[in-house]
Amino acid sequence: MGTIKCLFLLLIFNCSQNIIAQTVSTLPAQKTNTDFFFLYEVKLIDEFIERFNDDPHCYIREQCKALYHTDSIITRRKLLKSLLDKKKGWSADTAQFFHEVLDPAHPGYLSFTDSNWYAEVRCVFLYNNSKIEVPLVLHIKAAGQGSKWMIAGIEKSELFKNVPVSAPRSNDTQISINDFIPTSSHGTDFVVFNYIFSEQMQAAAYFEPGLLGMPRTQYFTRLVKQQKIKFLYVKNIKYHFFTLPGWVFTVEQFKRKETNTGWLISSLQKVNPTEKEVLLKKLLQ
Amino acid sequence: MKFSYLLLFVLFMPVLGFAQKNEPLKTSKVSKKESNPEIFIFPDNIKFSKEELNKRVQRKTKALARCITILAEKKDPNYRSQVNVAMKLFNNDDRKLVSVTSKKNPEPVTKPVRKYFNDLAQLHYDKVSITWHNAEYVSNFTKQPDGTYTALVAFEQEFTGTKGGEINYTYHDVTQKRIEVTVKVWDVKENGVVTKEYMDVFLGNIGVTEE
Repeated sequence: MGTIKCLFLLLIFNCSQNIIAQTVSTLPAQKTNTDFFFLYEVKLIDEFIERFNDDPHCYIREQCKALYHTDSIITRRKLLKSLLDKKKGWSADTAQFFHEVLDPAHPGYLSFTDSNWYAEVRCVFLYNNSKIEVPLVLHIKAAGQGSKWMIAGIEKSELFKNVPVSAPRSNDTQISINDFIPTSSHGTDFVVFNYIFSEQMQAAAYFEPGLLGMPRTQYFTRLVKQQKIKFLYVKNIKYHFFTLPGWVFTVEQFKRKETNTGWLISSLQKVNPTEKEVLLKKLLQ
Repeated sequence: MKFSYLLLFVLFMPVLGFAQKNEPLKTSKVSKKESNPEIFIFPDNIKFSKEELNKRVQRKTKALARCITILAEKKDPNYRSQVNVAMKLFNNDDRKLVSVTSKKNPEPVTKPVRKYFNDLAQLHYDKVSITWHNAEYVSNFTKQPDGTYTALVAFEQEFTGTKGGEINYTYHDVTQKRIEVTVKVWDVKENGVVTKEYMDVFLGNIGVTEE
């Protein structure tokens, strides 16, 4: 545990990655390495948001308090820096992004229950005995007393190459209070799709009304209900944040035995409102 | 009397504030979004602190580890009773799933939790040890359309199972587990009158990734 403490301090005091890497490589047991990386890993997008906002109860602050009885050595700037994929070269725009997010007069924050950040989920289905990818785009939506994940877009896929321009519409408008995609589903890679994409699927409970009327969605839901396609698993998830004015950024998971690991910012774009709208339209197709 | 009302109002004002936090939020760069409400208000105004909920989540994950140990070591043909004990942690919901990704099989293998437990009972290890490497991460709880709250718990576990005798075999892995958790509150009514209020944390779908 003493070794972990030293390494923890190294990162908190913002030492270079090289020093950390060298120190880690001198550790005697693999078990200790694993301990160490888990502390720093951004384990879920929820933790990403907590760190981004410098939540006083975020995991890394709590662990620091448990080890040193204080978390005063952690600053929001350090936490933000820890959320960038350090393998990527970052431009001057990144410095401006930091400057704007950390602006004391108008700081930028994210909220899990906002609806303008999106999960781009590459789902693998079984169709005609072959695996086929169907990328779905989901976002958080307020519903009833709470929130839920809702499918807001279906991206291009081989599955849709022969979809008629106007597919027959179903009158699927029923929504039961118990039919929803829980806001925790992303943490288990939407394993919930295994029982949502079934013969009895109430499509209106899971698809945005605007999307539901589109030929691609009608075709997809019909295939699901006829059990002609079967959900297998999620291959990959990316999160796109359109929350902060003037910026769009993407968060992806990096699995590596380093301190810079987990859900990290993989791309950051400075955009004007029109560009932002175009990017969003492209994502939602 | 007036002073008492004023005092009560002042005391409960923060609670009223927390109750608003799951309302749709406006996109604003100026105001800090409250991402970590410390108090959760359930129907009938039952309140729990996040610390209390986190403790309950941790108790359930420890209970799950105990069940896994017993099942993997169990040689009793009546192991199904232990599977039933384990399923109580999942509110006896047979729809809950376990999805496992290993180094050998990067494509996830998904099965119902009950089947996962039944399969564990076929392992027949002589000794099983499960250890935690770090404190669990518990995400914030978010209110669902049906009034329940859900969160995610993530932790790293080391599993070691040994078989002695002629086989003399040891299986060892380090996995990261992510479990969906749900908090439910319900009333017990006698003659139409609520006599007791219960709250419990149930485990949900599980994602397991080999490190």
